[in-house]
Amino acid sequence: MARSEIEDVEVELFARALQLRHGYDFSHYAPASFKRRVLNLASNTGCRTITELTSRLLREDALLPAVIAGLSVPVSEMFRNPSVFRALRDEVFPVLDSYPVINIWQAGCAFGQEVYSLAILLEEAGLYERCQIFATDFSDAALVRAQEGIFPTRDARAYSENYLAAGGKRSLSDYYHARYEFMKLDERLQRNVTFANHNLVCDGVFCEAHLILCRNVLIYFTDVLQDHALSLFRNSLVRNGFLCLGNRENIDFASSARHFVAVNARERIYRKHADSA
Amino acid sequence: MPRQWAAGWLANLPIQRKLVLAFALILVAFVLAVSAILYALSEQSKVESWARHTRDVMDGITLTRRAAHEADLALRGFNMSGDLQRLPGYDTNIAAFHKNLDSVRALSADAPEVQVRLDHAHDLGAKWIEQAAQPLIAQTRRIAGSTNYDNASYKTGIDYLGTSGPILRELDAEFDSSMKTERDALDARNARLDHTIERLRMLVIGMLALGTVICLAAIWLASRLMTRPIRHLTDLMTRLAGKDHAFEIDGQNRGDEIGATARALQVFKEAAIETNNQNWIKSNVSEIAGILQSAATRGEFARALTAEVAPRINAGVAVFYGLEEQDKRLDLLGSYGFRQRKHLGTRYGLGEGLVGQAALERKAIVLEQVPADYMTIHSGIGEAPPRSVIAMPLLLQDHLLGVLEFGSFAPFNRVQQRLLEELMPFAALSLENLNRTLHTQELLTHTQAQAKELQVSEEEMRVQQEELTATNEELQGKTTELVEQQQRLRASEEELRVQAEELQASNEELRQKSETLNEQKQVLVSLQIETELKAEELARASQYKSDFLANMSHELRTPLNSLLILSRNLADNEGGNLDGEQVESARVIYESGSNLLRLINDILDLSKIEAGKMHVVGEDFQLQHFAQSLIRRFKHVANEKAVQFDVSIADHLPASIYTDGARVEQIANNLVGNAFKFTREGSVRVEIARPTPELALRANVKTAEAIAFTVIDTGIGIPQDKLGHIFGTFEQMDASTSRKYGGSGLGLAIARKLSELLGGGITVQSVLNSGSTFTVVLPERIETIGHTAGSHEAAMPPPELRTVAATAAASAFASSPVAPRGLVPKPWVPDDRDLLSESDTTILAIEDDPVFARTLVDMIRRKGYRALAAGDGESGLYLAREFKPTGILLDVMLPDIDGWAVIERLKQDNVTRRIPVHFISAIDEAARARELGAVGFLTKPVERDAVLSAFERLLQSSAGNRRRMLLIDDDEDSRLAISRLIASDKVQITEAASAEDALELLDHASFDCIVLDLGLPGMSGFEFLEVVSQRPGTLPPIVIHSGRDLSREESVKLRQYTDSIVIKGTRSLERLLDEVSLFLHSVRRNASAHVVRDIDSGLSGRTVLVVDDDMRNIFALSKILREKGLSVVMAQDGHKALRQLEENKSIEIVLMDIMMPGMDGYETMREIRTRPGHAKLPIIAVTAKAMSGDRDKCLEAGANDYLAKPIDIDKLLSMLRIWLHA
Repeated sequence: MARSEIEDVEVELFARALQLRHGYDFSHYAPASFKRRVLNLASNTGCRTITELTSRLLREDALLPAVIAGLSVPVSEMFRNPSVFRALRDEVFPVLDSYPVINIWQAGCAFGQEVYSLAILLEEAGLYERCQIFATDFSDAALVRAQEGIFPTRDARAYSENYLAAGGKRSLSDYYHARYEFMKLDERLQRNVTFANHNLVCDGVFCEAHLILCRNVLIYFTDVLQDHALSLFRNSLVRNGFLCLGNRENIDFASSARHFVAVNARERIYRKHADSA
Repeated sequence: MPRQWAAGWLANLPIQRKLVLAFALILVAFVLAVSAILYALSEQSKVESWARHTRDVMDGITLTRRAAHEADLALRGFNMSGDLQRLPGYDTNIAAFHKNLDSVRALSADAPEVQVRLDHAHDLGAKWIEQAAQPLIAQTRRIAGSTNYDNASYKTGIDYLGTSGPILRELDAEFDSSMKTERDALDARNARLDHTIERLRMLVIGMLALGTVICLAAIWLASRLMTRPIRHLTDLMTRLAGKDHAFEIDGQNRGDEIGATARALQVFKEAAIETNNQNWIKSNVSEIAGILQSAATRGEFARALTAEVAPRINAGVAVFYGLEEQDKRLDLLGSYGFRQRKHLGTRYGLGEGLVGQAALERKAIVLEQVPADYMTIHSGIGEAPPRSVIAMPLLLQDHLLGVLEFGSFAPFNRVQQRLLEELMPFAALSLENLNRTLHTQELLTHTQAQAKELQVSEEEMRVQQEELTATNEELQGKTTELVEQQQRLRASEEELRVQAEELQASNEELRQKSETLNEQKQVLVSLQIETELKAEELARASQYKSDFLANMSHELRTPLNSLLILSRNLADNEGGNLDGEQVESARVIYESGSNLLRLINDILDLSKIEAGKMHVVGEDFQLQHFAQSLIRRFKHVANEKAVQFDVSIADHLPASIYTDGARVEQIANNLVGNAFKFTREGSVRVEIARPTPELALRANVKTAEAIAFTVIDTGIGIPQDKLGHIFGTFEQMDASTSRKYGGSGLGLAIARKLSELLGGGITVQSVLNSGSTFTVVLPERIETIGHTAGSHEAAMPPPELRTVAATAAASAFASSPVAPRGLVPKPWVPDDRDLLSESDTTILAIEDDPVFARTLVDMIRRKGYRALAAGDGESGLYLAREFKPTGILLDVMLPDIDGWAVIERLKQDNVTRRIPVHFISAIDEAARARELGAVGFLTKPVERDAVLSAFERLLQSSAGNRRRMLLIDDDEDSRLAISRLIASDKVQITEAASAEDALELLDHASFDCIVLDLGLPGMSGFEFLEVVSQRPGTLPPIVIHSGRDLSREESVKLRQYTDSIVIKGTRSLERLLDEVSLFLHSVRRNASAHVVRDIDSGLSGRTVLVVDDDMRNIFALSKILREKGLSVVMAQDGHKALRQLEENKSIEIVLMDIMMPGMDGYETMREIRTRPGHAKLPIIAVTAKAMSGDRDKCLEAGANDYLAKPIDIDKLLSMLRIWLHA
């Protein structure tokens, strides 16, 4: 049996162990990506084989957060794909303005770059006071980092450019303090953000959202899981609520597609059908 | 047999010969008959000639006799008379006698007997002449002239008589017998003729009979031998044409044309059968090919192929083996009616078995008479081996794709085999296509997977790259650090030694200092606490103040609003029942009120600025526009007071500055207003320029980045000693100024505060009695952030303040609600146009006959409606537009434009489009009327009842099937806007300006939807909702349309009644329309209001606290729980939950959501558990989290039980029962 095939078996055993031991179900994650994450994780934790990692996972409780953190792909930047944020500001915010209280769910917030980006735009649109943002991720480690709001300074330049491209009215530097090699975002931006652990695989509806952002999360899922997540979003959204996906994701082929209409198909902004209960 | 032979012989004769034969027979009979007749005729004519001959003979005889007798007589005469004259007569007759006798002799030459007699007669004649006549003549001549002649003659005569008599008698006898002989011969001939004729008759009759028989025989034979076979053939042809081939064609061996036709038909039949078979094969092939093309997999293809073909060729079993390219084996892909047998493989190699053999040879193999122990064809009631088996290879250009095998009870006939043969290429092509498609699909899927994979790995690459960069940087940093540290270490070693010594010395010093510091710190701490307390106190005071102001403003403005409207109405004296003095008083009241409103606005502005509630909104502020608007605003004041007014802008200024334009205008209006107020003659000038350095300094801005607005007047001026105070709040030059010039004295104070707010300042220079100069210096760009004073909570402006003020002013001046009436056409017949009010049901009659128009008006009035009448189309259209009647009765024949044009224009106009139109006309064109959208058509003359039913129809169409919406909004413009937005044929909008009006309307009518503005005069929107929800019956769905922001508490409160809350904003009308449409046009109803109670005795009367931030959840839950008789207390977050527990001691159980903003569920539960008295309070955690660890976390945090979302109501209720029972 080739080495790769043996690894496949190991990855499956690892996933099974993770589910039986800790309750995390990765069975519907895109297999190739999952395998790479596991291999990566094994080498990062100093395990020679995945089986060794599995063995440690079964016995060492403390390893779990690292495993979960290692399995997620917390990559993002502030105002990533600025045009999406611009579209949100121009097309979605004016509608949100008509709600007395605005609930926004950022599903898969990773290190929080997008949450802060959103908070800044909402602040500038004068909506932030009325907003309650739920930033969720299934990795506690990521949530802790997101809550800190500290990012390397070397990214600041790119973030600033994105911010301006997204239609920012001021300067991004108004919202952070840079010290040494890090920038810390203004804590006031967090005042209406609730960071919480939520796993799209198994957890249910927890709020009534007017806008859900879930960008570059579904690509790691198989179709079944994507559909599950989309139905979760559908049940969470108010009628005519908005859903914003990553620019590589689309719902055209998902069975939930009929419950959504595109508001801006290019930027992957959808709206829940009014009659879709 | 002989007959058959004869028939056969006959039948074999060609039709031409048959015809010739038949006609020849008839001809012969005919010729025979005619010859017989001709013969008979000739006989007859012969007899007739003989009769004529006999008669001639007899005539000759008679003449001869007569000649003899004449000669006798002549002799006698001569004898008696002796006259010689008479002698010639004798000679003549003798000559005639001989002549006749000779001719008779000639005639009767054929009759020897007569000849003999005539010879005898001749002899007798000669004897007579010689013996009698000659002697007489000679005697007589001798005696002639003798006297005794008579005697002599007599004697002679007697001698003569004696001689001639016997001769003559003998002669007569001869003649008689001759004649008799002739007559007898004639008779004999006649008798012979009769006989001949008799025979002829017999012959003719015989011939006729024969002819008839021949004809009948010919007809019979023709029918039997020609017509019948031909008809038979025709029938067969018809059957053939009808695709019936199940017959044999007889008579093919016949030699005639029918035989030929039959043979041709046989060929034709075979061709038809062939064509039919071809067609059957073609259609089946194409049908099957079509079905095969839709197969998506090879298995499906095989199943389709076997299932489609087998029944078509009556095969009981069919299998398809597809070729596996790689190992050259044939796999069973699909079958039909096939039952697997143990020893029969599902795989064959090439050459193995029949299947393999067919594959190897690439040609069909047919086996007949299969042995009995062959595999069997199964059915539910038995099984039997097939009789025939056929295996066909599936080839595409000699390339084997598979093998198809069939088994059947009957041998496969040629057609079935041909079907198979023809089908095979198509099936092969389809299979090949399918194979290719599958291959392509596989490739596509593969590519898609790769693409997806690529995306994902790209993402991952980013992470890795990021990680690498980070590690790299870290490493670099560490390396540099290490080098530096090394160097530093060396350097510091020496330093350390020195420092250690110094440290010892300073330690003591430090100890002393720290003691002092501790003391100072304690003082500081106590001071800080004090400061904090004071700050809190201040904040509270400020909150109280702003609350007070907000309340006051409302309290003040509400009565002021009505005061302004009413006094304005009075002053306008529309009723005409007030005298001049009273009108003047009203005007005074109105003006005082207006002043009061301005004063209040000033105070509010000022206090808002002081409370830090005034917002500054940066925007591009066009200086040119500003100057123009100033001129526009004050031009008429300047004209009125005859004071010159100029606005100038210096050169080189930017076109616009970035500041809060509204505030700048407020400042400028204040200053310029003041300037005009205090200037009786001269001029007021406004100059916009860069400030002088001194001014800039005073305003604390840089000259180059600031703009100065200077207002210079030539008014009364300000004494120097007062200059310092004029900007003070509530301070004026002196008390009398206020009375003389009016105004609150707050303007300048506001101007100063505003200019400070905008980052600038204001200065004044003045010379008493010659004028003042106010200069406002503002920075070119303001910084918005930081100037929004106050905390964010406090920063919410109370928007209702501005709205109320605007509304008051607007409604005060909009005194006359109806548009000018100057254009109204004169009433045609007296109608109710002056009595109309909006709620009236109005019918417009467009009718040119005054009598009928009057009748209609009368009838309309009697029904209790208002009537409008127009005598021509144009005025009808005008009235329809102007008064929007409930319905229109329309005549077709009108003096100007006809009724058709009228209805068309009504339907084109948005205002009148929805008004139902009913025709009443003398011409009957109901169809056209309906086409144009009329609700009905009546033909004149009309019955009273018909007109009444027309009214009914109009009103029904007007109200019929429409959804009713109640719009509650105190602002008329807003109502108009919303009505326009929602207006459609299907929606009837009733407007109410206040909650009280709305309640009254709800008493009398039901509505499908309510749109409610929260900011209402009198009863507020919230109160209205409370009152309305208490009423019996179902509450219609409510859409809240609010002009102001709602606090979280307020939204929660509203959510009890509706989840449709729309805050006014740029896109709000769009959403309002969405929400309203949802309720008006769909069956969806808001189920919030009506509670059906289903009391649960175990739960009734208990109190539960529901803690959840999800509003949907909280209301769904509380609704169900209330239905069960529980009383529900709600909290949206942890803090509120704790507060509720403090305040509400009756709470017996808590439903706790985990994911909440602020204090989450875990924290709240922990907190609850620390409180005395709540240690044992049952708490059920409700969470969307579903993992096993989450449950433990909840229980750890103090929950008694755990319930996953979405909530199973039965489970929740049983859980509640358990925990409440315990």
